[in-house]
Amino acid sequence: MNILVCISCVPDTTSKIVFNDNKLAKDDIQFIIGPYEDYALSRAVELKEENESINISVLNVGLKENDSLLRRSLAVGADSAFRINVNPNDSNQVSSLIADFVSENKFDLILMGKESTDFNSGIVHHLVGSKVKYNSLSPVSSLSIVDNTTVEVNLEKKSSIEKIQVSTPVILGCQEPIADWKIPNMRGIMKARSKEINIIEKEEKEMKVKYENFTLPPKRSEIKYFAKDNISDLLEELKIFK
Amino acid sequence: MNCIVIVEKNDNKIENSSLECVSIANKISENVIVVTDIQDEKIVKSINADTLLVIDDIDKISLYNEEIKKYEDSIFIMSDSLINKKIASQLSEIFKLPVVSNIINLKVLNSGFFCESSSYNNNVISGINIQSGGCIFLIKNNSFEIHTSNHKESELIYLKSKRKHLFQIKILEKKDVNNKISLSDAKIVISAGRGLKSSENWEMIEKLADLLGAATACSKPVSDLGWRPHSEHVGQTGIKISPEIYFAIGISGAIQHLAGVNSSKKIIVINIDSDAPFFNNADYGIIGDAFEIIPEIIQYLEKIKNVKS
Repeated sequence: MNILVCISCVPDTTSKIVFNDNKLAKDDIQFIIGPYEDYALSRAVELKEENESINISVLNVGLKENDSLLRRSLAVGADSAFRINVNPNDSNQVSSLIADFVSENKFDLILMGKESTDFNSGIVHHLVGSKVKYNSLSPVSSLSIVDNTTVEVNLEKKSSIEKIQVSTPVILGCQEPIADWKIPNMRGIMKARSKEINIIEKEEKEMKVKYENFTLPPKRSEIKYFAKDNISDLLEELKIFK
Repeated sequence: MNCIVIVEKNDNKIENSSLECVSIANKISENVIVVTDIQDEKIVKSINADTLLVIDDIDKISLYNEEIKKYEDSIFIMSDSLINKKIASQLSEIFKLPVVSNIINLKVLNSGFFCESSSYNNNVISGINIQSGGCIFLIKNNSFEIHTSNHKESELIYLKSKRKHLFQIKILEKKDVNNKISLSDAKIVISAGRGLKSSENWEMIEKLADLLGAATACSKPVSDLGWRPHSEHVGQTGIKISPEIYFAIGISGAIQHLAGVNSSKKIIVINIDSDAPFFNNADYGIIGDAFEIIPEIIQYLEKIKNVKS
């Protein structure tokens, strides 16, 4: 079974996000593999630990600065890494590039995170699915392999959780508790050093969707404290009676 | 310009988030077409639109593309819900339109559109220029006002599709999430954390939620400990919500938790620890023991309820 894990490289949640001249000030930010994609990668590695014949490829759409995180994915247990050398602009562009890659290669399972934690769209898996005509399910909180052409997942919906069997190829948007995050060990780190990161060059196309500016949301006003004895004043101010 | 709006149901009622989308559509377009799978004629007719298309299952909207294609020069508006993310992707491929998510502001320009999207876990507002005749907009809940005036005379059309859905799945088991009120659509959310000490103490949280018509939620440690189901976990790796009012009871306010709730309009923090970081990101605060304060609030609300009845 061939598994593709698509990762995004995003600012660590605790990083302070600052934009200078509408460009993200990257120097002060620690970049990480998106937390949800880290779950996806960890589950793929767990499946490989159970079945050695599984092959894991990792894909990122981004620039050279992301290579260290692709190498981290190799250290955690991925077999090969690919980077489409294009500055990621938005979900529409990234999904087109991933769809091209998926069409040119054969994967049974394509794992992504539920959403990237920078633009929070949570739509790339479905956009890729629509383009390559694969089924896409998100968010899934468990994944196991039934046989060569079937997987079983827990799919979270608005008011229910469904245990589903679905045929491959399929695209899944992963979220916890699908796996425990994996930390690379020394052996993995050494092994990853000798592996190559495959760079795919693509022309940047004219974008219909352009991110023009970035601003901070308005700050909350100063907090107003209420003592235990005047809770009624707070409730009156909130006007929340049913 | 036509505007096609997807209207979702919740227990056969119209979702508030869908009503927001209908309001936006009526503001920016002369011809509003609603697509819904609500079958109740009375409820469907209460939606303010020029045309109401009722289909069997909104999940299978792509089977109706021929009917929808009749409305040329269209933009699509729908709430940014789990199901709509999939619908938007299908429509994007059929109509070759871009999709933008988490929209909190939308303007039609002479050529194209300008919109604002909430990004970086609600820490940044991105201004987006779209140079395309059409687009699919996914609207963030509770970001636009609902207008109910000037109800239009609508044409109601029931559509049936004989075609089969492309993908077959086998559902082995279905567990309903036991939320009386949908967390993503709730106007008020009562959320509690590890400060409540054990799962048995949620009775007062549920009672308070019941009195306020609110949904219940919890922090990550609480769902990790199994005190509450994962479906109630709000935060960076759980559900992201933006209610009118968010009560955080016994939650310290770690940055990962804030990432899922910081676009709530008003945040009320109740915590015994005056140094809890959540107080720095709240509108109202009560420093004190939740086990004393919550019963006090319940008592007050019950008193008001009794007076009213």
